[in-house]
Amino acid sequence: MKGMVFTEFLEMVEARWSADMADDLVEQTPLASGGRYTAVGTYDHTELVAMVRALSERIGVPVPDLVRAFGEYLFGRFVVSHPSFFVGIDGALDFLERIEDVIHVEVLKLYPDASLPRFDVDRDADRLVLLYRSSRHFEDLAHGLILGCLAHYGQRAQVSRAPVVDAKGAAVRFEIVPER
Amino acid sequence: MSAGPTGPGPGPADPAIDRLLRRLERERGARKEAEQLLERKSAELFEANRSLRAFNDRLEALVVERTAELRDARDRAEAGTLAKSRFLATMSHEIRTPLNGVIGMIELLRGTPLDARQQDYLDSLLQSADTLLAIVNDVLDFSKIEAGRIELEQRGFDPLRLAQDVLTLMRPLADPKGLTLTLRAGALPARAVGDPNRLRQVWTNLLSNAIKFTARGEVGMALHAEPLAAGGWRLHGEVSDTGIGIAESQRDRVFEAFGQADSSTTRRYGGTGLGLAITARLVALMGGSITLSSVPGVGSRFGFTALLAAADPVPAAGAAEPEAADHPRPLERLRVLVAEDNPVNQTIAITVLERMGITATLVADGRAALQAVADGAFDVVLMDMQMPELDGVQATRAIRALGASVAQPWIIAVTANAFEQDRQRCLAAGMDDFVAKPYKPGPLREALQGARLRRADGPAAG
Repeated sequence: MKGMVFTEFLEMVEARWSADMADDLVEQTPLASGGRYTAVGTYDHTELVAMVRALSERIGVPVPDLVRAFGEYLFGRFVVSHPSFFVGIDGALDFLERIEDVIHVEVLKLYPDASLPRFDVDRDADRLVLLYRSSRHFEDLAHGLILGCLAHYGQRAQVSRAPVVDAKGAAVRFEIVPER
Repeated sequence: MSAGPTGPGPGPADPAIDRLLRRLERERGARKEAEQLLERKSAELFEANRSLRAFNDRLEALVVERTAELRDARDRAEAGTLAKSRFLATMSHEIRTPLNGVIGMIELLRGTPLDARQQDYLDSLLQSADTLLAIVNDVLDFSKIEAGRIELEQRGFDPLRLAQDVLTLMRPLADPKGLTLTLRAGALPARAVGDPNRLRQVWTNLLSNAIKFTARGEVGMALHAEPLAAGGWRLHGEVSDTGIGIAESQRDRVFEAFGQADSSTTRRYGGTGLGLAITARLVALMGGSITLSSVPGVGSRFGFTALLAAADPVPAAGAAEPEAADHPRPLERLRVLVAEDNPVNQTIAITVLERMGITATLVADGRAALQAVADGAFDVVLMDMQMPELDGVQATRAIRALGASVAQPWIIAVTANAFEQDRQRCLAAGMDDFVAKPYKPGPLREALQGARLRRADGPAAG
């Protein structure tokens, strides 16, 4: 998993709770990397899972809620750190529709070795369906990123989520229905 | 103040300081890792760049090499094509000589008593021989064009009259099939300058093609001329038919040599597959282009353009028409010298002339022809072009060089070549007219009747 996810996670913890809380998470969770994260590095995603679990225990918020909240936060950080991804895209659904064809292409230019989740997109007049497939099962993170995207564009929408199994295997289906 | 550590000095036991130190240590570790990562990426980029550059250099070298190879291949192919064209031209010329003999002999044989069956055989024989001659002529024509050995004539003619003549010529092909032949003419100059013979060939090729591939309905000719700002005209010609048509996939091929739409076409409809290739090249030589549109089963339409120059403002209408012979006279009184080296053609020429009541004198080469003209009086010389000693052109020059010291004859070139260069060469040498080989009674009679005598004491006075 890209180092930026780790550095942003720790920055979120610092901002929402405290620098000490961030230190504690790093120091009291067994981490192969020793917590010396840099945005340009790549680290085992289970380290993030372990830190989130530790945070959850400390503050008594369920892991899925924490991960989703982090996803919302992370999207806002993308807007700041990679403004070029947003040029010429005027709506939340337009952005989500282009994750595979535009955004992931841009990500791979910067990080050729990044292993990205796969999104199958299906859009019609009044909804967008995203099928999320990843061996890492960060569907909560994906959910949070979707909410962050809607918030960024000021788009109110109903987001529902359900596990599905199709010919390509298991997936999580997000349905985003904008409110008029 | 209470006892204990004083001042801001750090103590190893202070947990806050300790925490900060560990945090600093982590941050430094992260920074070093990032620096290492960057160094590694830089090295990778450098390597990638270097191998790309090497690849690029190799590619450029390869392009140079391939270009040279291609140029070589192209040069070889062009040299090969040229050699092939020359070979074809030579071959068809060589084939034509005996073939002319065959056709001449058939003509002679037709004049002898024959029963109906023999007559029938002979007609088939003549038809086959004529077809063969047409094919050989096509091949010769095509190879001359390909070898760049064709020059266009520039002389005044009436484009509408030419189209009408072609139509008349084509009627005997269209009538037996019950086809309607039509001619639509738009705005046209009364006279323009170009190569009427080649233009006629274009029309004839397109029309005979259209007639050949049309079983019923109509074959139409249309033409008009568009005046050009720079002077002269662009002639637009069109030949349309209600024939079998040409499938879209075949349309580009029909203008290629031996490119009949379907090789079974050759077997069913005959022809060399050269007609349209020749036509397209002739049109290109005339500064135009040829187009084809077609719906299979409905018909085809060939359109072409050709550039024509403006004719002199005052057309010499009277001078352009051939004048009537000074002395209309019975042919049998003509004194004719035949200069011809080929024994078969000699026999044919003498026999055809005999049937017209003319007793001709025969010589077998150019030098003998010159001698004969110097020694005796001849009204007309039928001059073969290719002969030993002196060829037709050289002999003619020598005869004309004798001037008034001899009776200057009317010299008719007998030539298998209808090309403009050959004609110009003949005219420049002092010849008066041409007939095409083989010696056929009709054209030969016309040529002899057209002979105008230079001597005051013509045969009519004798």
